[in-house]
This record gives sequence, C-alpha cells and structure tokens, in this order.
Amino acid sequence: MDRLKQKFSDMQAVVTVLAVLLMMPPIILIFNNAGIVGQIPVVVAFIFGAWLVLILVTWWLVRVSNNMSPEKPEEKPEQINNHTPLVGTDI
Amino acid sequence: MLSSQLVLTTSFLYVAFLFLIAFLSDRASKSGSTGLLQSPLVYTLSISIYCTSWTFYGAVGSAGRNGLEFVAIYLGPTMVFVGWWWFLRKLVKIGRSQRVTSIADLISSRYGKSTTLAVLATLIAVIGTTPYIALQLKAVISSLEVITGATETFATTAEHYDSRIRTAFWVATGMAIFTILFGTRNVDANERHHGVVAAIAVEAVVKLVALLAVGMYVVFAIADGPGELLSNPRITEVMATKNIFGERWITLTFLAAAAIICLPRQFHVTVVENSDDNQLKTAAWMFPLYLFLISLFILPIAAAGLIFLPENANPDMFVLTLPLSQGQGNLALLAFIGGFSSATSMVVVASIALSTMVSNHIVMPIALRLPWLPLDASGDVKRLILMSRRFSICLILGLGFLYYLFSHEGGALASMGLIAFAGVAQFLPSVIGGLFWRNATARGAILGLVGGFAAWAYTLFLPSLAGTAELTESLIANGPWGISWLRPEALFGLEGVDPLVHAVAWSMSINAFLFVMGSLFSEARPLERLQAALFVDVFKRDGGPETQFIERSASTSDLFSLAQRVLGRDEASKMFATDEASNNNNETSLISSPEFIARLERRFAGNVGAASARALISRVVTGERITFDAVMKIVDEAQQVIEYSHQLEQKSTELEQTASQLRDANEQLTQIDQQKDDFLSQVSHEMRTPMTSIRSFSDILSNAEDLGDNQSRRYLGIISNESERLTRLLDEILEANRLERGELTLNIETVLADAVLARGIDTCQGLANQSGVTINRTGETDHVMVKADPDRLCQIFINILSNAIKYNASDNPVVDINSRTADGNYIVEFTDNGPGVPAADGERIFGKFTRLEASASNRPGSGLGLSIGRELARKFGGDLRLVSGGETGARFVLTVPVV
Repeated sequence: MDRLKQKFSDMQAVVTVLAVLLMMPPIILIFNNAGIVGQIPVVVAFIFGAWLVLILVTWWLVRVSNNMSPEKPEEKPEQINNHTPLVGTDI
Repeated sequence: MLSSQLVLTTSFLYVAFLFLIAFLSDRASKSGSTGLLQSPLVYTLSISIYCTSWTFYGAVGSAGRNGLEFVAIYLGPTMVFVGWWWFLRKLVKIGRSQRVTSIADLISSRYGKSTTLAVLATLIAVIGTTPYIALQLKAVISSLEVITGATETFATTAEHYDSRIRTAFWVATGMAIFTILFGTRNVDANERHHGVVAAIAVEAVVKLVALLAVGMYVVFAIADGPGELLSNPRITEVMATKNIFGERWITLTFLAAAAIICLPRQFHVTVVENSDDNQLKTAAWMFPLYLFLISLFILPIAAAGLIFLPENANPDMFVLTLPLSQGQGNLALLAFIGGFSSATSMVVVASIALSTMVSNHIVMPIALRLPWLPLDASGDVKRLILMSRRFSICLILGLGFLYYLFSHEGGALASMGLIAFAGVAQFLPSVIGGLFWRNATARGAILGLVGGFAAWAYTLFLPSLAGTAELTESLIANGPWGISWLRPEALFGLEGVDPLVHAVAWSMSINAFLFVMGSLFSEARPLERLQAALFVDVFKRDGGPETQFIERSASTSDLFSLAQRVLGRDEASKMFATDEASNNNNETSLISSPEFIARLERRFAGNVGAASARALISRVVTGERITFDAVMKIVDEAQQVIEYSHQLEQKSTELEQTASQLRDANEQLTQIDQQKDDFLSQVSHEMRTPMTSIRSFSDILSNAEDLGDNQSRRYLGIISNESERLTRLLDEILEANRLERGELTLNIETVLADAVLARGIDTCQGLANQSGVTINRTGETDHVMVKADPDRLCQIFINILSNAIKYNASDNPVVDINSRTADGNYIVEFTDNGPGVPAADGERIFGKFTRLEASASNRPGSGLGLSIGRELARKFGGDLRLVSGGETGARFVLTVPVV
C-alpha cells in the first residue's frame, strides 16, 4: 500500500481509539468532579471540548485524504521495484 | 397557550411546504440537476434524522433527570462517524455495489440471499422500531397538548384519556397518509428518494434552528449566560447525585453507536441513499458537528426548566413550556414545529425503510409462491410492490399506535427509545461479522438473531409492557411459574443491575455467542461463500464479477416479460435495448448471456431485494449452476494472495538465511580444502627427506661393491634411523588423526606429576647434551597428583622440551623448567632463550605441520608436536599455551588440573 495512505489509515485508527478512550471511564472519571471552570462544571467543559477537538481532527484528516490523489500513475512501477529484490535475492 | 386552530394551521402549512420541497426536488432530479440534492451537505442533514423527538424533547427530559447521561446517545454515533474509515466506508461501498435496499436485505444478501434471514431481520426491525414510532406519537401528542393547553380543559381523567387516544389515532393516520404520499412514488428502493431526502434535510435544519433558538433565548434572555444556569445548585445537584459514568454510560454509548448503523432508517439514509464517497467523507465530521450543536443547549435548557418552572413540570416538555411560561408564543410555536419536524421526518423515513423490507422480504416471497396470484400482466409486480408498501406503512404506524396504547403511553421518552435501540442492536453481530469475517454463515446469523432477539424481547420489551395485564405483572415480579431465576429483569440471578444494562448484556452476549458458534459449526453453501467473498473483499474487487461463477441461461423473451412485470414496460424496454446496443449485434439473440441475467438480477434487487430478485430470476432461468471450483477460487483468491505473499516473505528470509549459511559452509570447506592440501604437501615433504636418504643409502649399498664393513654398517644404521623416523612420523600423523576424531584411548590414572616431568626431562637429556643445551629445573611440587595418561603426559613434556632444544640457536642455550600450583592447576613453564615466536604466529604454531619459516630449514620434526600436545592437554582438562614469544625466547605453559 502507498506509504502515505498507510499513514493516513494509521492516523484514522488513532483518532478512533482516542475518541473511545476519552469518553469512557476511567479517563472521563478524572474530570467527573465538582470543579467549575468559568462557571461551567469541569465535566461539561471536558466532554464538549474533547468532542469539538475530535470533530476538528476528523475534518482535518478528511481534508488531508482529499489532497491525496488516490491513483498515482507512478504507483505501479514503484510496486514492481519493491518486489524485484524478492525474486532476485543473490544466493 | 396558543389556540389549536393556529397550531394546526401552522402544522398543515408546514407539511404543505415540505411537499412542495419534495415535489420540486423530484422534478429537479428528473431533469437531471441533482447537484445540490446529492451534495454532502444534504446527505449529512438527512442522516440527522437520528435526532428525533427523543432528542428534541427527550434529551432535555433526560438531562433534567440524570444530568449528562443524554450525551452518551450522541457520543456513540460520533465515534462511529469519526471512525468512518474503518466501518462505514466499507458498509457504504457494499451497499452501492450490491444495490442493497435495507439492512434486512444486506444481511440476507450477505448470507447467500437467504429468504429466512430476510424475513427474520424484517420482523426484528419492525418489532424493534415499534416502540420508537410510539415514542414519536407520544411526543407529538404531548407537545400538542402542552402548546394548546388542552390538559386543563378536561373534567375527568377518563375523558382526557379518551381524547388523547383519539388524537393519537388521528396523528398516526395523518403520518401514514403523509408517508404514503411521500415515500411510495418510486418503486426502486435503491433509486434515491431525492424528494424525501430534500424534505428531511429541510426538517433537519428546522429542528436545529428551533432548538438553538430556544436555547439562545433561555441562556441569554431568561438567564444571564450559560454559567449562571450550569452552576445553579438545581442542576449541579442532579449531576452530582449519582456517578453516571459507569456501566450504564458504556452501554448507552455502545447502543447509540450500534443504532446509527442498525436502525432501519439510519441504514436507509446512510447506506441506501448514499451516492458517492465524498458524501460520507463530509458527513464524517459534519454529522458529529450537527450532534454537537444540537446537544449544546440541552443541559442549559434542562437547568432553566428546573430553576424557573414549577416542581411538577414535565422535564420532557421544557423546550415548549419554558418559552410559554415567558409568554413567547412565537418561539413556542417554532419549537413545536421543530419537534414536529423531528417526529415526522423519523416516521417518514422509518416507515419507508420498514415498508420496503416488509414488501420485499415478506409480501413478495409469499406472492411468488402463490400459484393463483396472476403476475403475468405488464407491470403488475410493480403494482403489487407499491400496494404492499402502502399497506406496510399503515401496518407499521398501526403497530406503533397499539404499542402506545398498551404501554400505557410509555414511560419517559428516552427509555422508550432505548428499548428500540437495544432491539435493532441485535443486527450488529451479523453485520460486523458479515463485513469482516469470511467464515460467518447463514446458520450462525439466524441463530444469533433469534437468540439475541428472544433475549431482548424477554428482558426488555416484555417488561416495558408491564401493567397492561395481570400476567405480565406477576411474571416480572416472580418469574414464569414462580421460577425466580427466570425473572425477566434478573435473568439467571443477575440482580442489582440497571435493567437496560442487564438486557443488553444478556441479549448481545447470547447473540454474539450463537452467531460465532453457529458459524463455526456449519458449512457455508456455495452462494454464501460467493457473497462472503464479494462483501469481505469489496475493496479488492470492483463491479460484480460473480457472473463468471454462475452459469445459467434463459430465453430473452421470458426475461423480457419478467422484466416488464417487475420494472414496467418502458423501463424494461430501455434496459433490453441498451443491452442489445452494447452487444453490438443487429440480430436479437434468443438466449441471454449470464452477464445480462446477473445485471438484471441486480436491477431487480434494487426493487424487491436480493432474495426475491433471485427467486424471480430462478423462475425463468434454466440450468443454473454455481461453478463450485470457480467459487472456491474467488472465495479463496484474496486469502491466497495474502498467504502467498506471506509465504514469499518467509521463503525469502529463509533463502537469505540458507544463503548465508551456505556462504559460511563454503568458506569452511575452502579452508578445510586448503588445510588438506597443506597437510598433504607437508606430509609428503616430511616423508620425502627420510625416504630420500633411505633410498640413496640403499642404492649405495647395493651398487658399491668395495664398501667396507664399517661403512656398510654406518649406512645401514642411517637407513634404520631414517625408517624409525618415518615410522614415528606416521605414528604421529595417525595419533593426531585419532585425537582429532576422538578415537584415541587414554589410560587416565592418578599420577605424580613431577615424576612424569622428570621422566620427560630424562628422555630429552641426551638430545640436550648433544646440542649443548642446559636444562634448569626449578619449583616445589613434589606431591602434586594429577589425573592423566602418564605416557601421554610425558609425551607432551617431550614435545615441548624437544622443540625448545631443537630450535634454540643461542650461543649459550638454556631451557628453564619451572613447576608450581595455582588455582587448582599444576602449571609447568618451559622458558627458552631461543629466537622466540613472532606474535602473529602465536596461535599458528599449534596448527598441524606448522613450522616457522625461520627455523624450518634443516631441523627434523613433523610439525605435529605442539598440535598433539595441546589436544592431549585439553583432553586432560588443561591447556597448552604460548604466553610470550618475542625476541628473547618463547615461554610455553602447560596446565593440568590437580586432583
């Protein structure tokens, strides 16, 4: 697979896992206290803040993926090059 | 309070406006301008039918009762969309390539176009959605009552109840008509309903604007900013009463995530109505943003309701009652329209999705099996589909109405919605397994769905109807026949758990377990394997190559009449005409190609679902045969490619390893070969000298007749000496060989080391005297005993000593022999003042036949002495080393362990 595409795929995985981790116990329990930030309860600020960050990161990733042209003409020769050493291993 | 005329008129006008939008959009799409209609924005807005009246009214109610718990319902879908790359992308791609019409169709199609599964999934979807429809009815009725102030006009509760039921009936009827007009104009469920989508997109905007408007008004007009509301003890107390971030939070998030995929209406807008990848890409962030915005003001509104409204006010209606309490009639009306929007859009899409399922998977298969139902005229299948869809819509709304009646108008909105969520979540194992697990089978899916759904119905659906009959009441309290461990809300003694968590845990575990086990212990049919490959490897394969795996033929005229019945005359003619044009031959072929039959089947599938399409086509095709080998090939192709590349990688590593081993072996062989050559030349060289002298002296003896006796005896003595030397040499070679092979037998015994050393010195004394070498013996090791073969040990001493004597070219040659014990070893040092051994040759001299260039000339010796000495010393557990070479002489150290 294209290295760039692989990287993008990895980043997608990170964001997805992050989304789950942030909003689930135990992490969310850290913020579940009686604290108040600028008159707003900490846990409310955390949930909505993290939510917004996740949306922004997803938006950014989609933009990145749109900039990646899915089919590059030079992809094929590259692949062949990648495979030649397999065949021609000198013994 | 607003007058009911005003409210009803506004509602009707609003509905008319929606119709106009739908009508215009349909017309625009027919004339080919689908630009805006297929835009990612409209797509995203249509997905937001996720936010129903449950969100609009119920979320505020939930926030007023349980604080932040409502957020989980929106975080689950956010996670699914943020992770679109992993699941939705594949689901949508499959939906498009297989022309999937509903979630039941997806499941049936994946598991070999199974009719049983299609029916089962349809039933689950219909029953699972019923509470949800009831929820919308309840929300519309309650909001209508609240906004018109109807609650206060009734004298008795019975009268009130009757009127409410009447309203519910008329609302349900109105919605049914609305949906039929909206949703059953097109037959092809797979063809996008542009009109409907446009209308629900508008409704999505309306409900968002309405909720935001109420939110802004509450936060900035009633209160003084969000801080004032959120820090008020009324809401902070609610938030602090219990820790919501426990098992219920996890369950809710999971259910919501499952629902965004499995709810029939979500599946419809996300998968069926999807037309390209860009739509999904945009929805990936825009839909979570929509959810974020719609959730933003829910907590403040709930807080304001708790603070400013009377104690007994219903939290579910805060969105309406707050503006009303402030005399803001117009804002309340806007809020009402927003709630109305969220209810109607949900009901419309859910009924369309469900009616498609019912008509495709239940009505059609039955109709196809009824021989007396004449389906011969042109387009009558199409009519049948339309009729059955209309009927299904009425049925679905009727069921919703009945549930509303029997559930005693349900509980809170949120809990009704959650029952539906848990019901449709039963699809999840089969869907995920179907998309990612090649070996999932129809048997597994059926078992999982039946088991999970039964568990859901027993542990959650049944208790939700509590109070309607004596029987259910006692069943829930004591279990069936008084068996307490079968109580629906404490199954198998699992007590003290939230009922929702309890039901989800049991139903999902049973479902997943049966699904996996059923798949593992059953064999997939060929068609199942084929479909599994097409689904799981959807990204590796483009288009529908299954044609080459199904061999069948049909007469074109039969197919045409069938197509006419299903698609209508115009559509069918068009399709057959394009086929002929693409075939590029002028004469119409009598037999249709398998490719065309497959294309036709997919086209039918868009109308009636995969299973029915297959049944229809099977009526006219003959000789259908799935070429098993070919299926096996396609099924295992991808796997094979992966395995093959793994194997290649492995092989190449193995090859590399083997190559390097071979290189090493080759080097060793070359070395050994070199050594062998050296050995041979050394041996021949060694043997040559004595042989030459033996031959020349024997020649002299035989040829010269005048040789004196003395002379002859001397020559014979030389011959004898040389032969002896030759024998010794051969003995040494043999011994070295035996030593190397480990064949030498040693007579190991405990001996006095010094005694053996003395014997060795004595033996060499003659040679020393001859060469004028002085031997000095020092050291006190009188009683040291070692374990060794005494003769061999003596031989080592002799070998070292004789070398020291032979090669000593000093003017005053001396050999010092010192013995001592250290670290449990008997150590003898032989130090001479000869030419020494260059550092570079320190180890070489222990090799076979090694004699240093400088000293090699004219000195007798095999060059095996030190080699044999070291081998022997090691056999005794000691060693023989050269500790210092250099200019001033060599020093050899022999160590043997002391007993």
